[in-house]
Amino acid sequence: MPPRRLRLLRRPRLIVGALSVFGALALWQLATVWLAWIRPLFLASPATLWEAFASSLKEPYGGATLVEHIRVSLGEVLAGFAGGVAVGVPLGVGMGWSPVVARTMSPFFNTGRQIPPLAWVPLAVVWFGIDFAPKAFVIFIAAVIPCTINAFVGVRMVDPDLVNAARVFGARGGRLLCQTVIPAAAPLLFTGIRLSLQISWTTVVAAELLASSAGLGFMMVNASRNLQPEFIMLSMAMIGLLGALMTQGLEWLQSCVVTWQEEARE
Amino acid sequence: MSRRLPLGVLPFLLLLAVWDLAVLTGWAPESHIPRPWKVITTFVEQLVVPFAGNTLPVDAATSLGRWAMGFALGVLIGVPLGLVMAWVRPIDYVVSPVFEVLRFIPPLAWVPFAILWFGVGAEASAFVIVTGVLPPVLINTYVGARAVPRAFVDAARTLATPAHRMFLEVLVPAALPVIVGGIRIGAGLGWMSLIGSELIAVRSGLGYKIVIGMQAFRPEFVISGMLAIGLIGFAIDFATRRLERRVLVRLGQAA
Repeated sequence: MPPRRLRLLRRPRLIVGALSVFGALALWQLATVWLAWIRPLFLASPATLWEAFASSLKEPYGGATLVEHIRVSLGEVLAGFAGGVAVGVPLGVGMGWSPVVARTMSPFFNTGRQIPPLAWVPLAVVWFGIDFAPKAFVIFIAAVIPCTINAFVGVRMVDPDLVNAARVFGARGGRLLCQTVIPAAAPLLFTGIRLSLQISWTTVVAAELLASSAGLGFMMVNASRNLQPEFIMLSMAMIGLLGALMTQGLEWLQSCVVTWQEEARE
Repeated sequence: MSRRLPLGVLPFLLLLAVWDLAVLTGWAPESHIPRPWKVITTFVEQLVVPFAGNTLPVDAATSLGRWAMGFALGVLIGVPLGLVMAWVRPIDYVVSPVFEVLRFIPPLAWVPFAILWFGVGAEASAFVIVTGVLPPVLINTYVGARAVPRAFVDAARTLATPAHRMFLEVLVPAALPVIVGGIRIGAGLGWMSLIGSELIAVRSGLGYKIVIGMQAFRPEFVISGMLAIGLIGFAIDFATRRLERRVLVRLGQAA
């Protein structure tokens, strides 16, 4: 076992990577404060961003504290995303499993998905106003698409030998689907769910930018109107962070659920 | 084909029937959702009659022009940067972490900054489109170029290939199928980012048209605008799929 320091040195990628991120931070500080290349109106300095973060935790900004804004956006994302997965995965599995379902639903689904989810935002606002419902609706539409496509492809790509083997052992209908086909398609199912999560965050931002009264996107609009780049950056950072955390969580969940994936590879 | 057709039209008929009945029975007020035929007539009407300042074809041309500019920029930055990152290790080490950090910020979250930096207008929109196009193009180019078989590179080296020819004649052709896949995904994301940016940051184009329809509370204009957006999105997807197919055929990799 070599000493810890030496082992770290053998991983130049990690060191250079950390240096690079620190370098970018230093450049940011240099450009905004020490050399003042960039006007504070265009880009906030690290210190200002930190102050904005600290103050928004205690005092309301744009009518709510940071935590409340996060709760609003997170609630919209979770509702739309959960709905999209709950509809998309069964739909995709059904289309992949049964030719009749595929022939019925494919043309409709493929026509509908040509409209980018964001183009639904104005209609959702006309229908449901500017609060929770229109966002959840648009996010649902956005999230359903990647889930369905990946579930469909995943089920279609299941090794026919596997299915036939299960049939030989007497598996039929629901049992064949639940115990053979879906586990075999699980990696792609999860890929679809992950893509759905990403598009959910993209959509919530756009919807909140256009029409909202709270949430991280609303915080951005507010900051942009008042020319406060530090609050724009704060909400961008929060959106990025939440998206990254949820993606990580999903990957962790996948590694817990799809334990057979590693075995299959060996 | 004749056996396939009837099943596929069922959901469309069902949607139209539910839609029209909902409006007729007054369950959905006509101010919120027009009858289906009114959407069609509005769509046709808008081909010649201006709404929100322009006719539908003019706005479509504006949007497409913006998309083409942002898409071209994204590809022109993404492909070379991806190749260099795959080939020059120090650059990879320096750029990757920063890119990884920024990747989780959705393209549309850049809109407020785009407005702050470039003002309301075409530059802001182009910037947002680039943030949508760049990630898939860059990632696919990088992955594609990293997956080029070592033997190709070694063979080229034995023949004393200069660096620029190594890029253009070994790396690019070998990675091309993956790169073109990234370009196709980027084209679609770019179109979506454009519509998103037009909802907020610009005062013309198809996205702006549907926002005006929303503010005027005229859902027939919103829905016909959505149809136009969908049609162009489909055309972009179709064209890039054709391109991908041609590249694969040319390289002899088509299934």
